[in-house]
Amino acid sequence: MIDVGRICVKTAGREAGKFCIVVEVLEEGFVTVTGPLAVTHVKRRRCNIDHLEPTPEVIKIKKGASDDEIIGIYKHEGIFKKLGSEPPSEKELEAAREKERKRASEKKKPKPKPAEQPPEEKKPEHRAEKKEKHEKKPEHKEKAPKKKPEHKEKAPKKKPEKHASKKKPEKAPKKKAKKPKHK
Amino acid sequence: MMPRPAQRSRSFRKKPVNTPGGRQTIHYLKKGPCIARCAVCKRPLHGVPSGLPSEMRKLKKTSKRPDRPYGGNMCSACSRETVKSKNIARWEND
Ligand SMILES: [Zn+2]
Repeated sequence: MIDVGRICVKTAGREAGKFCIVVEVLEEGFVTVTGPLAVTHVKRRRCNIDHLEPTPEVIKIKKGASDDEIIGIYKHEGIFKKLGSEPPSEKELEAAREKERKRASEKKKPKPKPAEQPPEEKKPEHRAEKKEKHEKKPEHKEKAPKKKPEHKEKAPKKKPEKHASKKKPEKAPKKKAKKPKHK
Repeated sequence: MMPRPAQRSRSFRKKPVNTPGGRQTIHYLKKGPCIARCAVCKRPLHGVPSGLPSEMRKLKKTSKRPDRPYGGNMCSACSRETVKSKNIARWEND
C-alpha cells in the first residue's frame, strides 16, 4: 500500500494531519517522506509506516526525487487542488531551500564531534564535579575540629590573613580619626 | 497550633511539614485545578501540567502542552484516530 509516489497523511507528531509523499522505502517498516516543505510544511525525513495513513492518490516519481521535481509534477497533474493547498510562491520555495541547506550543513558538522568526544569526556567531568562537592562538604565539617587536614588548611588560611592585614590598617585610622571628632 | 479562623475551611489543601526543630506543623495551601483529561476518552493527559494560574504563567508554552494538533486537548491515540477518520471522510466525498 505504501510505496514510492503514494501520498499519505501523517498521524503522529507535530506534523500530524498534514499531507506528504513517500520518496523512498528504507528498511522494513520505514520510509523517507517529504511534504515538500514549501507545500505542506512536512520536512524530508525518515518516518515509521505506522505513523502514516495512505490516501488513494499515487504519483509517478523517481526513487529519491528532489522537492523541486515533486513540485513540478504536482503542478502538471493538478495535485494542489486535491490537497486543498495552492502552489507555493517563489519566496516560500527559497525559504524552504534555505532551511534544507541549513539542516544539511548542521547534520554534517556537529554530529562527528559529539559522537567522538563528549561521551568519553562528559561522564568523568560530572563524576569529578560530584566528587569535589562531596569533598567540600567534609572540609567544612573538618574545619571545626581544625586539626585533621593540615596541608589543605594552611594554604587557604594564609590568603585571608593577607586580606585581613590589608583591611585592618585602613579601618584603624578611620576609627582614630572619628574618635577625636566625638570627643 | 490552632489554625487562623480564615484557614478553618476545607477549601485549603493541608500539607504536613516537619520543621527543623522536629515539630510537625500544617501548611495551608490553595487547592489547584484538576488534572487535564482527554476530551474523548477522559484519560489523564501526559505532558500537561496542572497548577495555579500564577504557577502556569511562569511556564513556557512548549512545556504546557504537546506540540501536536489537538495537543493538550486529546490524548495521542484519540488525536491519531480523528486524523485517520478525517482523512477517510475527505476522500469519500470526492
Ligand atoms: Zn483519548
